[in-house]
Amino acid sequence: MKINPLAIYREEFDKSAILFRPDTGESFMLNRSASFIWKQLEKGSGREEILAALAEACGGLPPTAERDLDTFLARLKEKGYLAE
Amino acid sequence: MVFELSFTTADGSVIRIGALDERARGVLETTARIHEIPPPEELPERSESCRVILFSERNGLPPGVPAKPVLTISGLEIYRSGNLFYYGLSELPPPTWEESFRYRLPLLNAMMAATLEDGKSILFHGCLLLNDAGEGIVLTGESEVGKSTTFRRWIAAGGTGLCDDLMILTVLPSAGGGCRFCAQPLPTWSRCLREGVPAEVLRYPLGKAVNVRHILWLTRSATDREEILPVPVQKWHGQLLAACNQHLLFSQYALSVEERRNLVMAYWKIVDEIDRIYRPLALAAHLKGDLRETWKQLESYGRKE
Repeated sequence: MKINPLAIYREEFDKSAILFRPDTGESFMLNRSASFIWKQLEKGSGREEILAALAEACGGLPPTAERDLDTFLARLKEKGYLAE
Repeated sequence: MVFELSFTTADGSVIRIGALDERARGVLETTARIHEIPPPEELPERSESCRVILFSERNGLPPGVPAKPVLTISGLEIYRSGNLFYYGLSELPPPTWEESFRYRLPLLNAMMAATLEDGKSILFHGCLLLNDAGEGIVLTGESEVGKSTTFRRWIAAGGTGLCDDLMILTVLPSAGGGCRFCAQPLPTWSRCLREGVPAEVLRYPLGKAVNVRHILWLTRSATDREEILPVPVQKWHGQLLAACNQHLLFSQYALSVEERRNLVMAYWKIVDEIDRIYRPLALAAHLKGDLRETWKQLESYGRKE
């Protein structure tokens, strides 16, 4: 998965974050979990690596974790922040 | 020999646009009239800080400039050579409102270059009103949310407005170690398209810099009254970024990916400075509201600095 090089990530004071695309002027708000996932994506992590990182950070994964991650990744692709 | 149009931002930085021939000089002269600034002057050579240069296509590209334009838009071809942007003016000006591009885009480009270089001034999408003390109230918001309507409402209420679409915002130090913002009005270029106003008759006093008392996010009231409301900081930041970027959606394509990222970093620095001074507030506007009463309500929130 490849991050759009024009997607600018900036963390807020509460560990949430904003993604901004200057080519569209659109922002995408990330909560703390989404922010954590984005930072994994920036490292080049794939889906399985992200799940492993989440499990380690959270001391285990809830049953919906994989589905929630896939939904989030699909959303990022839809909005042009991520490409295959 | 070149001709250069120059103006200063509120912190004294000089922004320059050059012209290499008489025809291009004519475009700068019209640009000067529109922005109510002195006409271009003739200089023996280009100033070091002049990043944007106009020329007539019929005279050919200046030496050393790559032949392929980085951008093309009606009546203009934009070339890049290092950190210089060359605007080639077509032989015939484009029809109607598109002629405004030649008076608008070089200046926006020059401001974009300045933002990349020192980050103290940015283009900002919004309207600029003056309160009764002559201080600026900046309203920013999505297109069609009501900036122009609120501008007209304020004028109708006896107030003063300087522009309703775009301005230059500059951060500068204030007494006591903090910082402040000044705003300078820029033309509402959409009037050329929507109202059929010829670009050359527009008049906006770019030289007038006002201290900005408040920056507000303009929304439409969901109730039957006009009010000032706090907004979530994250959304506020998103709106401010969009406002910094709105009028560069086209021009930024002349930049590299790294430069465009740096441009957004510059926006963030301005957003951080805005955060230091202004509370994240929205004006939930209502057509039947009394803006003078709304400004009183606004003052009760105060500022951070």
